[in-house]
Amino acid sequence: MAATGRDAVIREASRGRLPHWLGLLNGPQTLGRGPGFWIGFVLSVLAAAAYPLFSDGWTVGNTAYFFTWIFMALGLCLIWGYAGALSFGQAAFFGLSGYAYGVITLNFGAAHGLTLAALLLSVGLSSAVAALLGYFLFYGRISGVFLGIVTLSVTLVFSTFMAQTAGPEWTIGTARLNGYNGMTGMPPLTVPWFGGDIPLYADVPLYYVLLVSVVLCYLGLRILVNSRFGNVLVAIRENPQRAEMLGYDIRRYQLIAFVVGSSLAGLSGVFYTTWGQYITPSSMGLTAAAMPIVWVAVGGRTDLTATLIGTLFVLAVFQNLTIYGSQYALVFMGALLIAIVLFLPQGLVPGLVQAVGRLSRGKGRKETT
Amino acid sequence: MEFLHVAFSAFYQFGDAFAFLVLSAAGLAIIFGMMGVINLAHGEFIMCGAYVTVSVVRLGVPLPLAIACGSLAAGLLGVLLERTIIHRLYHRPLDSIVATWGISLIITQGTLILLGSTMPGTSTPLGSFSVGGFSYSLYRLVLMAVAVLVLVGLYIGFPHTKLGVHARATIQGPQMAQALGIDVGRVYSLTFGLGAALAGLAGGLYAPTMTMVPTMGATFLVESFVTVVVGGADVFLGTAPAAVILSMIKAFMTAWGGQLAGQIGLLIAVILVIRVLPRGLSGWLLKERS
Amino acid sequence: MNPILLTKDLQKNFGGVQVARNVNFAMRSGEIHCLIGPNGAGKSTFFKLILGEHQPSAGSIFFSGEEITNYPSFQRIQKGISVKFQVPGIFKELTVWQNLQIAVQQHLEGSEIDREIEQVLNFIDLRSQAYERAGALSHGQQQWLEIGMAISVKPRLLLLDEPTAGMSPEETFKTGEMVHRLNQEGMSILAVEHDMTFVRQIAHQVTVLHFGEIFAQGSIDQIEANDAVAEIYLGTSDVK
Repeated sequence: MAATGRDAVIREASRGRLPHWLGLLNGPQTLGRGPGFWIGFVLSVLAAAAYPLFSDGWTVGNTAYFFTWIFMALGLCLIWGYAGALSFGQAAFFGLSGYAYGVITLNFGAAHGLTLAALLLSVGLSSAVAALLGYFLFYGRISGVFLGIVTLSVTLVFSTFMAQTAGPEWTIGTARLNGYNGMTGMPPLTVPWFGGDIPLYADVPLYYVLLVSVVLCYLGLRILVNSRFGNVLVAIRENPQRAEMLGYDIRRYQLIAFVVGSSLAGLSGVFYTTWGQYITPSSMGLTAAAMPIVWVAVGGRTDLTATLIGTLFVLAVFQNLTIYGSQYALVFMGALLIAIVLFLPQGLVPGLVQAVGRLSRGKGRKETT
Repeated sequence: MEFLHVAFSAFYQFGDAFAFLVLSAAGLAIIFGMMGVINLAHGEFIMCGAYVTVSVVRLGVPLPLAIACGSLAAGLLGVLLERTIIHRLYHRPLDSIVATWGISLIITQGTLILLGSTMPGTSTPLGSFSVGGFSYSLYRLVLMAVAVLVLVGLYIGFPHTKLGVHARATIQGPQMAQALGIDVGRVYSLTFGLGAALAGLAGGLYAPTMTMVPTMGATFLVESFVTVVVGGADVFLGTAPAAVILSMIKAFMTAWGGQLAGQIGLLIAVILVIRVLPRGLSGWLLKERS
Repeated sequence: MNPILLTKDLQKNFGGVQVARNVNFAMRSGEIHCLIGPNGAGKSTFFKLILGEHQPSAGSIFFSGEEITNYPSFQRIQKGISVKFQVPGIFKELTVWQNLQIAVQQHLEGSEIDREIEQVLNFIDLRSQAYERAGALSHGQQQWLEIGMAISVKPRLLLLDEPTAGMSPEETFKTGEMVHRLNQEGMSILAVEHDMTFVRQIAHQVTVLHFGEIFAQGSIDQIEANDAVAEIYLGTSDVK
């Protein structure tokens, strides 16, 4: 059985034969474990790495565009799917870090790896603000629908505020905030190199940077949610009162999950801004705030892999619909959401996994996942 | 004299904001309070009411009757949606967010496809009057009166109607209500329809003051939401006080810095109120009581 | 005596209703103490006050001599109190093993965690269900699982809120045996109970609560012989 397999790995790890954190990749809080899954994973990553060789610059750049959103989705999966806190704040941190990156790089340029420092600072800004907001929320014992409304309000305050920064007096250094039209013209992420700096425009090199980042982020989160920290998060989600009555300061755990998840949203914001060299207040509007909820709900919010696949699926479907079906794209999207909630409430991916499991059990084979 | 002018202006601003919040939140409050459903398609019921009202007015029907038609249309749409989709979402607030957002997308986009990106509207009736050199819309005063009437109706009238009594029983305990012979399914449908009809009423009432676009519901959505949530789970207890507090702050901030300042002020007020009262106003009031 | 649990003039009002009035309760270390009383007497409220779920309107609470009146709940647990709720407070979607793991991992590391979980599983007799979803267990098994979680934090004082509610007589007896074994290892136990057979099986001391006050105290024999106690149960008292 799956649990025994995991326990065996943990026992091996505690005997010193495997580093403990490696055992955590296979833990109880994530779908997919064992050699079959990981072989499939490695093959997918290799396929993704080889993909640019068979495709043109535009398509690769477009796929890179999809990747920029994944950090935000995984962050929400952590906050909502694992810790049980519905946050509408991802869009706020997305915009905050995006704008911060723009302001810093427009003021200081791209030389000497400054854009990389800008990335770190922008994400750090989101972390700091998330820590403050999280303290306010969780130590104030705000939860459930109220948490959603407060985080939504924060996001809308940001977007409404930024939307009215149109006048020339709204400038930070040399960077004009520009109201509804948003900020443009900031330099892309630029890697300092011996022969000459490499700017990462929306093309193959940026694609690889994003691919590596996505893989690292995914693996890192897998380890986190399967660790003791992750165990407590899930306990808090399932029964916060019981978790507290076992001696855990649940506010601290929720805060940490919130900061990590919101920082990931900030990372998405920076990548998005650098991908297209623009950021606008609509990235923090009502629709933008609801989108991560939709991806995560469709994919399967209680699992990282499900969220990852679901996000890519929704983004790809939506883009294709907009191109080929134009007006009907949103109608289809709406119908998809309703169908998922009514028939596959745990999400598309877990639902399919269960269906496949039931089929294979029906054929008399043992369940392997 | 000067003071009276300023006082009137302040009263008007407050009343205007209050009317907006009450009218837009009433329907949502009933649905959230009764069924634990967060209805993100609320804006679309409002839009439905507005569109039907305007279309009927253009056929020559007087405005009040047209508004009634709009409200009825929205109510019927609500009952239809409840029977098909919503009844499976009771007391699943997070799931209802996703599903009703899906409904919202379908209705908004569907309206865009069928009726185009805009529709000719109708003008604000009753003209204006002036106090102290500023002119005010008389229609907006009418809206304030309607808002108060709606509140009175809901608080005093509704609990005495048969549906009202059944509805309160069902909120308190659906299984118990069923054991007493109440057709709970029917109560839910009618109550949802009532919530939708109230939304349609708001749409119809504000239609003469707005442009007819399929996304017009969004104007009402956020503010009605925050009002309901700040009010807390017991909507009969919390929504009205929430509307009072939030509209005071919004009116003040709008007078100070313009419309966007008003919106920002409202949202910040929401954040602060929930911080102080993590279960909303009714949660706090109920704790004090029992 | 150094009581393990002591309340001084403990009071709780909700609006106009006094749910706990001037409760001066004391319990010795190593004791098994049962709290009984008619419905609405305030037993659950008393538990919630001790655990920190409610803040008292007046009065103070002492645990092993330390005042815990203003401590948040998780801190009281860390001091050595643990609770088993009336409605099983387990993590229904997680496995039995995971439920215990979350309780145990608070104060143990690495392989010790596994060993401790095995021990608890044997104690509550759920070894063969270790990898099942907790929500799939029978009601009695869920109660035992929760007891298992409550004792995993190694408390000095264990609070049990109607531990045998919904159990068969055999399960009830088994639970009583568990309570005795825990007490032999040094744990003090305070239980709210309605089942007099169970109370008789385990209690050293019994306290009767009525309308938020301590009505009577003594051994189970003394309580059962007390006519006034019988009266409050049979309902000759006025409803205020």
